[in-house]
Amino acid sequence: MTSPLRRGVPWVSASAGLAVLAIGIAPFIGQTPLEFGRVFSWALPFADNVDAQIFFLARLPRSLAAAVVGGTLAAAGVVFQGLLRNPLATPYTLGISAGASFGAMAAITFGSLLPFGGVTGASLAGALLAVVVVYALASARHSGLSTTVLLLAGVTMNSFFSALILFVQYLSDFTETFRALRWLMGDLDVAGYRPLVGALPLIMVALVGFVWLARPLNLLSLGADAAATRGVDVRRAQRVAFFSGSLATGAAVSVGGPIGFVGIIVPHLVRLIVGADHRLVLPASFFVGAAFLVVCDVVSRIVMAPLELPVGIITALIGGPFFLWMLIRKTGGHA
Amino acid sequence: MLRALDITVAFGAKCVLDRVSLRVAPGTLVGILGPNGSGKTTLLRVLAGTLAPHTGQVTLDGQSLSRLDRRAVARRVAVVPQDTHLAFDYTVMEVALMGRYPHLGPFEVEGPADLAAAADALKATGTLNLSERAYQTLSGGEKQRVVIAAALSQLDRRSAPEDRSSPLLVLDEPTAALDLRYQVEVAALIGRLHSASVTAGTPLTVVLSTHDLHFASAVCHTVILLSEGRVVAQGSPADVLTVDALSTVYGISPELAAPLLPRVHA
Repeated sequence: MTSPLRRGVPWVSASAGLAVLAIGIAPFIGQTPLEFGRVFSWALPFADNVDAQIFFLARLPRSLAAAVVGGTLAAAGVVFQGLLRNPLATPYTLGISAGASFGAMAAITFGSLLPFGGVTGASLAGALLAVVVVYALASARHSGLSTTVLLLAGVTMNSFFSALILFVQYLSDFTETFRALRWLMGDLDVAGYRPLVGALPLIMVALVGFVWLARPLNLLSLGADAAATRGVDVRRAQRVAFFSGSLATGAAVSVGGPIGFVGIIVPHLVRLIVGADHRLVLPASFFVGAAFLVVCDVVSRIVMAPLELPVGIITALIGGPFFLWMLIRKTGGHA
Repeated sequence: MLRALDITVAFGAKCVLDRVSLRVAPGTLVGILGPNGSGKTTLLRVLAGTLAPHTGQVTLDGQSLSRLDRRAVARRVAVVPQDTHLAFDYTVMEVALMGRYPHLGPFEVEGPADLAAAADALKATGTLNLSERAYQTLSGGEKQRVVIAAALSQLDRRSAPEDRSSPLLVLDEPTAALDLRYQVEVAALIGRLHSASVTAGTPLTVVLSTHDLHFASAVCHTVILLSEGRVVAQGSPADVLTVDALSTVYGISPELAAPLLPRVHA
């Protein structure tokens, strides 16, 4: 008898291949056509090789950023869905992206007044603030984390931070508002590798948490009590899920802004193929999420060229109808 | 031997269990009866170690449950809740394999022994033919049997054959949500599993709660009658389930209680 886990492994490998392929091909697509031979030519010095410069300095960092952000958001989506026992949860359900957005807004508007510059750092700080508040609320009255209180606290934080964002925007001038709005749309127009390198250590830490979580998340889907009777340290698993998921989300949002729907579309599609086991769903979602956002980013660069659409618009245009379809399918005929 | 000593549990001002003491001999079937809100489910949670009592303690072969490692407890005590709802579409085989959790290390993957344990458990509950089906598409009775299979695979000792202690299976109203046919089936299954375990040399201890007097007297060696968080009576079904006891505990007149009792053929 083959284990159900083993049967899913080829799919995970295939999704990894898909991600690598997307990252490799995407930089060749764009307004300026690149020639494969010239990009990797050693005959020309790098300083004179325009093709190589566009490839390595402009487009590759963007592809990599899309891959890391997309993969991280998709995997974080899986973790939050497992933690909240709800396939409709997203990395943003608990207010982390709203906190991050508030941080970014504040940095864009009051950046000159703050001792630390940097929208990235400020959005991370905002995410952290939201995480701490939600955790404190959810763990205040219970020995474990109550998923109901988590959800309510998250929804409340989302609207509270939205109000703060509107307040900050009201105080800001025209150009600041424009920048802020662009940031809120979710944009991968990163300058070089630096934003990615800054977020990567945090994402790596979170991913280690995800690897440990894969099996406890399976058991948690039975409910907290049933998981505990099977030997799961429920409190620890919930804490690791909450903090690693939040860390990953905060880091990803600090790079690309609150890009929507990746964290829900991708896990859902992946589950249709590999089943429910988180040991397959987590890695497959990471790779498919990476490939998905890389492709969306390419679309956003070419669909209205020479204009570049923020990639968040593309994911939302695909994701909105998809979400509704999921909702109808779920309520309509869940046999 | 499972022992509970002076267990008290209070939720807020409400005392749900009031100095409950009981002992469950290895290899016996024990039924817990009592009206809604009498503390049956709470007592089962305390016995399974998922709820820490405010006073008193539960011991398993002399060791306090609260001191034992969670995974060590899970290898000896398995619980079948009233109903099990899964958040995602796991297959029946995957649900049965979840029982192997306490037998595996943090990053360990189920091996052939675990797969065999899960398959045997599914076979014992007559659900092996469903193993590829999605759990959520099963009927109530099938679901209940699959969850019992998961509990059996959890108690399976093949990876630690030196452990000779009696495994404990806790079932919370296993027949409550089922129609007549499944009630009979699940009751028969529990009896069958118990006698099979006795034959195999590792007698299963079973503690279950139920409202079904016939089920309790047919299957259980001992019944415990709870009322308002206290043990009113415990002993053999014939001794405990009397017209007097039932009319007092359930607050119904003796004329109404009499026909509810299982007829004892002398």
